[in-house]
Amino acid sequence: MAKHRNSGWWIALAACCVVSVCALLVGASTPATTIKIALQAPITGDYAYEGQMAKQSVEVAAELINKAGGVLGKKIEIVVIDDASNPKDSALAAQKAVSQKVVAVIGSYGSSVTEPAADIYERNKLVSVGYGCTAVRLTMDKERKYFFRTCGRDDAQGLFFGKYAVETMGAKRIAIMHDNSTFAKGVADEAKKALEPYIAAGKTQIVYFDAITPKEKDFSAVVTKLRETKPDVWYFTGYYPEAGLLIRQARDAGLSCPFVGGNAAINNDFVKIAGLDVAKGAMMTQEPLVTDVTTDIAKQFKSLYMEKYKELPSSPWPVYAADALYAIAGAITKAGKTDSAAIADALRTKMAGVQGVTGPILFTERGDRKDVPYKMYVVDSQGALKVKQ
Amino acid sequence: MDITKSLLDRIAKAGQDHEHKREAGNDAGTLRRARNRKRLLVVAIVAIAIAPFFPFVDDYWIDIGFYFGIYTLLGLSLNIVLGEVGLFDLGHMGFYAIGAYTTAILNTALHIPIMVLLPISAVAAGLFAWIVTAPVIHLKGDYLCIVTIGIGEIVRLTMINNPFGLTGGPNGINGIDSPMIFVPIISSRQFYYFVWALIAIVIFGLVRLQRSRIGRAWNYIREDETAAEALGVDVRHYKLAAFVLGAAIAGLAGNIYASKQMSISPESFTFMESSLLFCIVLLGGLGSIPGTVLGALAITIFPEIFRALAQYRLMFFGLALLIMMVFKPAGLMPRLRESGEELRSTLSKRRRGKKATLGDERHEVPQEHQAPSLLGDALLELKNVRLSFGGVTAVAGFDATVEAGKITALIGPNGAGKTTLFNLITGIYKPETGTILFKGKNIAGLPPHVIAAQGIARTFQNIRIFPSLTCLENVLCGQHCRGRAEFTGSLFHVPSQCEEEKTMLDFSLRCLERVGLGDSMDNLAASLPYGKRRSLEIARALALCPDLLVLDEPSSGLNDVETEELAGLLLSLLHEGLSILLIEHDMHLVDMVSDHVIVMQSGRIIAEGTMRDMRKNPLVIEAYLGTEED
Amino acid sequence: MTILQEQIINGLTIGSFYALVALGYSMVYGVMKLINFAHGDLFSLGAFLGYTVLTGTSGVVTRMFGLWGGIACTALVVGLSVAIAGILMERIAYRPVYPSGRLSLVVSALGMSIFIQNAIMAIWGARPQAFAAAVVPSTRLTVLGIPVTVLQIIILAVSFLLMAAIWFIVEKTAFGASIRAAALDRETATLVGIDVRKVIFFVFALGPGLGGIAGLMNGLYYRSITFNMGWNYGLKAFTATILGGIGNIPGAMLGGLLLGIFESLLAGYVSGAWKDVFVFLILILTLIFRPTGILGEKTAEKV
Repeated sequence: MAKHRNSGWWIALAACCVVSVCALLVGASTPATTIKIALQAPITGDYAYEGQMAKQSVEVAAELINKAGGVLGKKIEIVVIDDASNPKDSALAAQKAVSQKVVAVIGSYGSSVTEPAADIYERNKLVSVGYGCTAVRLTMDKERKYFFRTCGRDDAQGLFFGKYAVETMGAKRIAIMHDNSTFAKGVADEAKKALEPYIAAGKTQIVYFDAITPKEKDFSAVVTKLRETKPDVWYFTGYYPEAGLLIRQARDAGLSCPFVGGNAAINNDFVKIAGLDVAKGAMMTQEPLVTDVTTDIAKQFKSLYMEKYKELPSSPWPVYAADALYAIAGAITKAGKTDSAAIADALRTKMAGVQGVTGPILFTERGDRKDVPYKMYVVDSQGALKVKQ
Repeated sequence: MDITKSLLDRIAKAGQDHEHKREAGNDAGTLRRARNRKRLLVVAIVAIAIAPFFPFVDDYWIDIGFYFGIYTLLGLSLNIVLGEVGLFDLGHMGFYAIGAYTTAILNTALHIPIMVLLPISAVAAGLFAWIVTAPVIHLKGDYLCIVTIGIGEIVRLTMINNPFGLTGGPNGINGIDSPMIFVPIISSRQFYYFVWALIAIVIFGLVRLQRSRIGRAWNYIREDETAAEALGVDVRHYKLAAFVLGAAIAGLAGNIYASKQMSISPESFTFMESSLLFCIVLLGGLGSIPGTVLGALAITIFPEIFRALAQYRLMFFGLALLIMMVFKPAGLMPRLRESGEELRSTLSKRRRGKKATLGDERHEVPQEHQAPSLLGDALLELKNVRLSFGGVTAVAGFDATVEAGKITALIGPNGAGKTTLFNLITGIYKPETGTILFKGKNIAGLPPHVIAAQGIARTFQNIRIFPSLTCLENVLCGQHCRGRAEFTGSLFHVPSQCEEEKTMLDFSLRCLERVGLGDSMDNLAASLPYGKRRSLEIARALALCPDLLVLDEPSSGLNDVETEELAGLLLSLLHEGLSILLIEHDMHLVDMVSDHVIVMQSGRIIAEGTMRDMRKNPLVIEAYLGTEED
Repeated sequence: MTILQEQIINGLTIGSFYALVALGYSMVYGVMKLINFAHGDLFSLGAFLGYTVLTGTSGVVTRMFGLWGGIACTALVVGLSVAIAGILMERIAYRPVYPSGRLSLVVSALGMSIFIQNAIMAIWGARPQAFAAAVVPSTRLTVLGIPVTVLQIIILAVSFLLMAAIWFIVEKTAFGASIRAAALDRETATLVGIDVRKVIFFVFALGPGLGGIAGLMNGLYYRSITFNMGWNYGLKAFTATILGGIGNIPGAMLGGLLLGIFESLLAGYVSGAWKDVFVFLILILTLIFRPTGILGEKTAEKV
């Protein structure tokens, strides 16, 4: 018996040696000539399209920044890390970003996916700038020193909708629908909260508040039920694949009230899915779209993106990912060094004059983006989104 | 049933491969394999223990090691249900979710420390499993499978819908504390050692269970549920126990996961994840603990290796799963069965110096269950027993008596209802009317395992042995209901359990020797030739220490020599005071051994008496004998 | 028309798709005893192939054969290609694993499913695709006071026709008898001279082919398709198959339709958010009281 045990040890030792040699070969890294910035995004999984567009956007932005001379004289290098929109993979992806010694991280998409990653970045003192995570609690529940986001918060959007629906549209019966995802439920809850004072004042009422099941295709039962509540306005806070199906099936079922989508609900694909005849007139609560921004950066970004990928990103989030890169690059330039604490400090206090694709980027003390103006957009007769007058 | 059947086939095949190698290498193959396993175990332990200290292993790789640990725990927990018992469970993530949410809710709301919640989460998950599986545990194969999928989905959707504001909806719960074991466990390395230490404890327990009567009972159910039940295994109890234990271990994993992530949300507990667990167990090899660890390694490492492939990552992952199954269908490391010697030596390790070998110490078998019955007493009485299948009467108002100390033969043409009658006696079917008195007590309608424990042991017409277990383990099944050891006893090797186990081993070996299979005790049952399988079934029935032995066509498929031997065996058993009831087509054998013959046709008795009487009975000749004796 | 009637019709539409997928599923299941997780993904494959033929060629097919002719042609192409994919799948992923038993088959089916789903994503992209309005007929009618599209009628009619055809083939023809025999007991079927390989070939051509056409119809009806849409339909088809009784063709149809109606009524009258919870609860309750599904026969096991 003792003999076998010995040979076991020998094998173990040999294996360890081989592995260490390999490691030495791999570990011999080159000195940093670039500034490495990680993009943590769902490249695979349910929101793969968002992640892949975010990758394209960030790469376009990086190319533009590098063309203009880079940051602190160095080129920006983007490291893409997939989190498959799954919290466990997100934690691993964050750990990977940390061990690759990146300067800062862009990411991620989805609040419940971002949360575990943000905890890890916080612990490792690494700046992360979220681009598609809108839950209020990310910045308000815990104080995070190194977490920022370029997208707006659920409550701002919910508040905007509530005010608009009651005061501008004069809706007496409001229907709110979400899809049980973190984001959609967040906006729906905030919209409901925003309506409460109006309800107390007897100005309006919520006649419908329920969820659909995402990834399904037939919502005829839901829209039939919705029709029977006779809403004046119908707010859907979920995503465009379902939104497109919902509005068409609702019109088929004879529901004609105005449709308002959250800022993930309407884009070119929504119009394609719903069909132009149906999509026309659909509204959307939305921060300024890249198409409406006329700054130089936006123009450059749009033309390079079109040149590379033939069409603009179909949702607003990838553009916020590009914004996150501009914010990080701007902060590094202002701070003059790539130290995390300095970057975080610069992001909070020294961002005056830093421009992103969607305009100036300023952050609050908590790390939220300052002054995210919401506007009501509407699908015009050509299927393009225009600010509603 | 289909599942069990296919499992059987598959395991039988694996067993055959195994057997071929063994025969070729004259046992050297198995020995070498066992030795390789031991080496591998040492290497694995060393590798896991020192891995975090390599210079190139950064926190990212340590975290992968941690999730490898979580998946190992989950794989081990599913392995109990799927690997050991063969129950199709595709909703195992639901139990994991219950553990994680229990921890998260109690920790964030009441600030109970994580380490206190560790056992609480396990208990909560186990309790939940008991509540939801108890009403459905009788479902077979795929029907149970869809129910587990349903349970998994119901748990996940309930968490999303935030009942009573407890679960935080799709956002989940954040701000979960870190565990404290003297020092707070925060760093990746600490978590890594924490989870692997827990795995070591779990594996230690599981190995002990595997080698106890509980682990064997699970395997009997997987191999052949009907046979297991007819030989005294409480199938329902052990299936439920497997679910509860599996869920409890998953609950442990949930607790650690929640405290590591610090936030949890329903996205972690999807059907896809449950399917991955399923893959872990199958990739490793059913019921194999080292296999499960290896399977978990494959499942955690593949996606990381393919990370560089970006959006093609999962495509290659799917392909890898496929290729593994095509080339290694029995798993990477199939379960090796322990020899009788190994089973024995683990029990008496403390006395290393004078290691007794199996069979040396003769333990007296407890006989208290064998109520002394006098020759000629009515041992089994059937009164007006009736059963019909959808209008076809299989057994019609049957009255008969089996006397103690005699061999009673039941004969009749095919389709006369003989086997159905056996199934009524042994509890596999419940009679519509009538009573079945055994030793004066009515056993009609009792579950098979209760009837078996009262002293009726049976064999089957189409042999039902447990092919992928060793002959000794097969026979130990008979002893199962004579044992008392439950979980605690088996886990902690309390002295009474060790004694009991030794007694069972020794007695089973004697039963094997009795039918002439003493030399094959460590061979897999699947490797036996047909005739020996019949003998093995009889040995298994004998191990139950029955009062009444019920044999269904014991001579079918045997050659003349073997039939002679069988007759000799039956007669010698008779002399030891055993009563025997048999169905037989071989009139020569019936003539040789039987004291009393009952002739059955269309569910009724048409004649009864000695064989000689029967030969003269015109009814019998017309119905049966005439054609056969020509 | 009352709301209840309307909801039941909604449910029938949902259910007819489930039933159509469940049919192919059930056939493969019956013969192979295989939970073919990849069936749902063949369904998506059908939808995407149809999308390429109809929309990807910028409407050439529609211009050549007219609106309906184009769709018929596409259905033919899709049916054949997915049937070939099904046969290939059986050869590559299932046949080598079959001798090792059903559990290994489940893993290889899962692997196949993940592979096809992500291959579709690699080829057609992760964004949803929409059938161009020009290739989808949009004529509207009013039948018995219910506003419907012609497409809806055609789809319902085709579904029921296909179901009836399959039922006829399996229950009433000699070849169907050999399918049923192979489903009951493969070894015995071989012994009595049934060419089980031929049966498997047929089943793996017909089941996936049918699934592919169902995918195309689904794409035309809802107009949008995503690479992961098959997973949900696969799971629901499995549920429908079990609800109706395993390996039972009318059972699969009934299970699918019932499931659709349950979903519709639950979403319409109870809650959209809790819908699937109740669907699974109903399934579990049904199985507690009828352990082999609604139409499944209680077979006494031979001991």
